[in-house]
Amino acid sequence: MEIKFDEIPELTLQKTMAKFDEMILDMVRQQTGFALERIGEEIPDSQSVDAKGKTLDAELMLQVLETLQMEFHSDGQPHQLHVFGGLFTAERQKAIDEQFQNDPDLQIRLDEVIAKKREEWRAREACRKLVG
Amino acid sequence: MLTGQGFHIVHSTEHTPLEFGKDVIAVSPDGKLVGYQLKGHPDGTLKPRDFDSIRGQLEQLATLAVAIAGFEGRVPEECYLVTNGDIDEAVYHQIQLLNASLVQRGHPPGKIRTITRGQLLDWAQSLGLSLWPSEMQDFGNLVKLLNCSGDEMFPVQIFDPLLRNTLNFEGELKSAELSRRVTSAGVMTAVALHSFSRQRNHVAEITAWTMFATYSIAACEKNGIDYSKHCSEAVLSARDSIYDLLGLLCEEASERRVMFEGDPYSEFAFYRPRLLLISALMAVYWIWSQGSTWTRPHHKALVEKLIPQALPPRWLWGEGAIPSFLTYIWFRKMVAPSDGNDMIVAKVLAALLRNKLGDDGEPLASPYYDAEEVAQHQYRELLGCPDPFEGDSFEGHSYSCESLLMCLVRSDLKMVCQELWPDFTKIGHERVVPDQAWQFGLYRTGDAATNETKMYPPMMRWSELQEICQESMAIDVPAALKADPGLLLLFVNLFPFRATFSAVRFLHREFDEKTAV
Repeated sequence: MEIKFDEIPELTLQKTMAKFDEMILDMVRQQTGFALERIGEEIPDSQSVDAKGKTLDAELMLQVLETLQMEFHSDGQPHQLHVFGGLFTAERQKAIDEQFQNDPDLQIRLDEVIAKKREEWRAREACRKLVG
Repeated sequence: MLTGQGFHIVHSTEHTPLEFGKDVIAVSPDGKLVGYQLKGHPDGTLKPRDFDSIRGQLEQLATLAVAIAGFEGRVPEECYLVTNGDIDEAVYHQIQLLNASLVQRGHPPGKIRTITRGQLLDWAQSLGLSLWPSEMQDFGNLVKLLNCSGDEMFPVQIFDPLLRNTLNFEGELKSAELSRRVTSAGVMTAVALHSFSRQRNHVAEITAWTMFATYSIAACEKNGIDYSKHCSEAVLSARDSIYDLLGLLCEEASERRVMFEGDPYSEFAFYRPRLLLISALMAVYWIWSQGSTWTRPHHKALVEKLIPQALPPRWLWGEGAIPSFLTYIWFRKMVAPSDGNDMIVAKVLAALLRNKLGDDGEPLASPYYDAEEVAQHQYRELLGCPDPFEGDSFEGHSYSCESLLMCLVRSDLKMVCQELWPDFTKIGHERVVPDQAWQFGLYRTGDAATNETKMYPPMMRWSELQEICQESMAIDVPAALKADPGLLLLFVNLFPFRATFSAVRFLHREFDEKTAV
């Protein structure tokens, strides 16, 4: 944040607060970028999907779900997915929801992916053992 | 101050009436047994009328043998009347008469001498700048401590910078300078405790003297100085004070029908944490005494009666309670060995794992939060205070589950561990490893420590787990603290975040009846 000498005579509380907001947003952007960069470095290839410049649609979402390791609650419900980044705009997510709702084939494929992931999760959980 | 001059304190009757007339008994650097009778007359003069009530005590000091282990039957060779005021000429004359009477009874001439305000100030001056805080911030902290009402928890966050600066953790010290500074820190600890001692707040006093001991040990280790030569005497004196205070706590607790403090209307939030802490401190007292000798033998039965056979319901107020719980269990294993003790550990671990997985109430706070902060969090809306947990989250990770599982592994409870294993592998196990072992002895390590999160693999061999649990070198704990496991046990009870997996493995080896060497 910068306040120039020339600006001082015209400054009000609101204008100063706006400057602070600008500075805070800038810091958050930088910290978030840094954190995402570090996370990106640690994610193995097996858990990565390259969108290849496409916008997010139901097909890409199915590909993401097929690729990621999913976790489930003890009642079998999947953990909520947290999404972040320019690909996941509110409009695109709404559009995808509609795609799944309006296309029974897509919905069946989604259910199959979730069922497969649940089985994989069950298999993983069954392997939590102290042996020997 | 005596310690700073190379004396070895063998007895301090600050808290016991056992040695008539002998407030302090010390061995001088040349091996003489020396007795001290302390009389407070700040800014005043000891007059003949005051002396009348002291004469008898001084005579006892000079003529009666001490009853201290290792010194039985010995009469002090030199005696001192110590006052922080001045002494009237007429009193000096009476002391001369008393000395003359002692000579007639076969004692050496001039056996009773005096130490007055002037000499005490000379000693203080010889400690130099390090005796009193020279920085304004430190001076402010000392004033804050002196202004405490004395019935509250000891404010360790205020005392910490005072000790750090007195022991010069920012710089390097040679052995002579360190010895001087350790003595200064001891004097300062006594001064800082003024309000708490007046209120007979024994837990606060125990906390401060424990800090003094661990910080002194840390200073030695940091500077690569021989602890036994330059620091152990002061730490042993602090340890003796702590032992006396534990004895006083035992007496006070025994006299109470219900162990409450302060306002009965707020006791619901603090009664159980206090009961657990007092039980753990009494267990430490029992363990220390069993390891040497009970100075007050009747306390053994009192302690065994004080510590309950079962902990009260809802005692687990946070992960900060786990070191006290383990101390309690180790005590129970020593006085009433039973497989049931291990099963209690298993139940606590199962409950803690369920809690950390979000299946059983709000996740318990990490050991970095004390019972007071947990109560503030629980009743923040009612109290209208900020949430001390703001920005922190405790779900999915734990600082103490590894230690609890280790206890079960070492007790060879394989089936119990197998049952707990799936939940155990779902959470992250937090460890804070100081960059250097000496930092372990401090209240906070700041950036000088690494936070590690250990995720155990879903599948593991029992033998591999046994190997992890068997290790007990505690390389991140200062050597002098490991050489005094009782002090280390007390330290982790007062500062639960120092009950690391590494430290608990070491303590378990020392105090658990099944694995004790």
